[in-house]
Amino acid sequence: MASTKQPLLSVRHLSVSFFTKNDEVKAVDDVSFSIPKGQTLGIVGESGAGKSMTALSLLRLSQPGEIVTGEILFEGENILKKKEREMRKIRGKDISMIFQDPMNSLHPTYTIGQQLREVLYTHEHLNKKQATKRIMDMLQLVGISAPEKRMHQYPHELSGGMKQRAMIAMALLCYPKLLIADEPTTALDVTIQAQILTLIKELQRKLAMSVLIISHDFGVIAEMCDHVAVMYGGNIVEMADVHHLFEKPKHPYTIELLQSLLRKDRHTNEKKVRPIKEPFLRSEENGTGCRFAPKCPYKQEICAKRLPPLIQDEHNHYTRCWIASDDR
Amino acid sequence: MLSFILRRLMQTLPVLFGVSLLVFSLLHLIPGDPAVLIAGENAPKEQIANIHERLGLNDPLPIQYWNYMWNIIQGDLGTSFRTGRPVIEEIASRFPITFQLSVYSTIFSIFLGLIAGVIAATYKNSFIDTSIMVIALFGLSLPNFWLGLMLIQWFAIGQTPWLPFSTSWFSPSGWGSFQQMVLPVITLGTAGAAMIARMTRSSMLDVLNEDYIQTARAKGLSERKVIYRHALRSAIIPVITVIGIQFGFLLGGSVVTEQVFAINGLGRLLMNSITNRDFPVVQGIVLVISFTFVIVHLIVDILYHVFNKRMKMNG
Repeated sequence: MASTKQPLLSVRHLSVSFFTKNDEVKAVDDVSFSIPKGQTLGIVGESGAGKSMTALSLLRLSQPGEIVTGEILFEGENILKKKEREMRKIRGKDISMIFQDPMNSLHPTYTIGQQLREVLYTHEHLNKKQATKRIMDMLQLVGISAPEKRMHQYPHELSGGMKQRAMIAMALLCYPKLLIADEPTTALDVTIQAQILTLIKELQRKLAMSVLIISHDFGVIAEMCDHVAVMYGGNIVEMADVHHLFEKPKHPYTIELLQSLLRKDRHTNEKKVRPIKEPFLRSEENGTGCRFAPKCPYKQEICAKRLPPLIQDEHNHYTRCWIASDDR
Repeated sequence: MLSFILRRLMQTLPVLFGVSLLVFSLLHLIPGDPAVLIAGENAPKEQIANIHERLGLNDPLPIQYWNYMWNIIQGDLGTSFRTGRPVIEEIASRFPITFQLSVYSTIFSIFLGLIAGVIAATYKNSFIDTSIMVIALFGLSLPNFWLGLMLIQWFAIGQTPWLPFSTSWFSPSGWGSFQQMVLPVITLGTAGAAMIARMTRSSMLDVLNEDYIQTARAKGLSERKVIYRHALRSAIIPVITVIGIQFGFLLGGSVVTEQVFAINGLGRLLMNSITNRDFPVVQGIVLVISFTFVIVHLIVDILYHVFNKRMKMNG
C-alpha cells in the first residue's frame, strides 16, 4: 500500500451555505474528513444535518446559489478549483454516486441499457459491442439475472431492489475510485436492504474502491464502515474508528442516538423515540455556541457561547464538545 | 390499452350526439321560417308551402332529426341555399386550405414555444426568463386581427416608419405561395407559441427537480444533454396536450385570421355563410368543426396515455 500517506479523498474545512430571504444558512459548517483508499467512511446524522449537502459538494452538484468554500482534495487535486469541463470527467467516472430513492433516480422513459450505455459513451471510447459486453458483465456483477432481458426493460418494469442494483451497476460501470452512497437502502424493504449492503461491500472489495456512505441508520453504519463521522447541525460532532465510536461514544449527541437504539431493544415493546423538535437551529438562533447545546443534558455555560473545537484524542477519536474531554 | 381506447371512444358518443342535436336545432332556433329565408320575403304562399313540403318541415321534430341524422350518416349534409351545391362539396373544397394553415401554424408554435420555454426554464428567474415570459404574455394577449393587420402593414405593405428600407416582403392576402403563407402562420401561431412556451417552462421546472436529473448530472453529462435528452423528454408530455388542443382549435378554421388575410378557408366560408344566412352550410361547418375537434382530442388523449404510461407506472 503505497498510498497510505495520501488519502484518496481529503476534505478540509468544507462549508456550504445558501441565502434565504433574509439570512445566510450554513448547511455544512467547517467539515473535515478523509477517506483512505479502499476504506469506507460513514456519515450519520438526522435530516438537515448536512450529510447530503456534503456528499453533493464532493461531485460539485450543489445547487446554484449555494456557496461552497474549503478544499476537497481528490487524489491531491482540489475539486473545487476545477473547471466544469474537468469536473464532468470526474463525475460518473472517478467519483460515482447512488441516491436514496431508486424509484425516481432512473429516467422513466429510457431503458436500463440506454441509461447505462450513456455513461460509457460519455467517459470511454467503446464501440457498441464492447459497451454491451461491459454493461452485461456489470449487471451480472450486481446480481441482476437475465441481463440481456433487463437491458431492454424500462425502470417501471423492475422492482425497487432491482432498480437500486441497476443504479449501482450504472455507478460502477467506469470502475470509480470513490463511490458515494446517499442513503442507499432507505427507500427499500428491509429484506432487500441487507442484500444491497452486502452487494456494495462485496463490490468494494472486488473493485478496490473507497466508499462514502451516508445514513441515518446506525445499523447500516456499523455493518459497512471503517470510520464514522456523526454530523449535527452542519458540524461534525464526533468522528472515530467504527469500533471506538460504538464502544466509547463521547459526544452527548452520539450517546443519545446510540441509547435511543439500545433502549428500543431492551425494554421489549416500549419504543422510546425521541422526537427532536427542530432539525437544527439556524445560525442566528444558536449564535456562536455548540449546535447541540439547546438540547444537551450536560449543557454548561460555555456551550451556548463558544463552538467547541474538534479535539483529537490518542485513539484518533475526534470530538467536538467542551465537556467530553473530561472523562465523565 | 385497448380498453382505454374503447372507453375513450364511448365517451365521445354523447358529445357527438349533443353536438348534432344542437346543430339540428340551429335551424329551428333562429327566428323566422326557414322557407321564407330560402324563397325570400315576398314569395307567394304556394312556393313557401312547396318548400315546407320539400324540406320536410311539416314533419314532427323527432322525425326531422331522424331524417337529418340519416342523411348525415350517408354523407349528405344538405344543399347550400346560395350556390345549390351540396354542402359537403363546399366544405371539402375549403378544408385543405384550413388544414394546411393549421399544420404550419402548429409547427411554428411548437418550434418557437419549445425553444423559448426550455431557455426560460434553463435560466430560471433571470432576466432572460422574465423577458421571454413577458413576451409570451403579450403573445397570448394580442388579438389575432390586430396582430394580422399590423403584420400586413409592416411586412406586406411595407409601412414601417421605424425602418429606413422597404419591408414589403410578404403578400397580404390569399393562400398558396410561401409569400402568402408566412404572415397568416405567424398571426395564428403566436398565441399557441406563447401557450406552449409557458407550459414548457413550468413543466421543465418540475422535471428539473426530479431525482433522475441529478442522476444524469452525476453521470458526468453536459448540462445541454441533461436538459435536452433527459429533462425535455419528460417535460414534453404535458405540452403535447396543449399542442393537441391548439391544433384542434385551429382546424376549426380561424374565422378572423382568414378574413384578415382573405384566405378562402373554412373560417371564411363560415363567415360568408352566416352573412348570407346560408344555414345548411353553417350547420355543416359547425358539425364538421365539432367532429374534428372531438377526434383530435381523442387522438391527443390516446397519445398522452401512451407517453404517460411509463411515467405513471414508475411513480
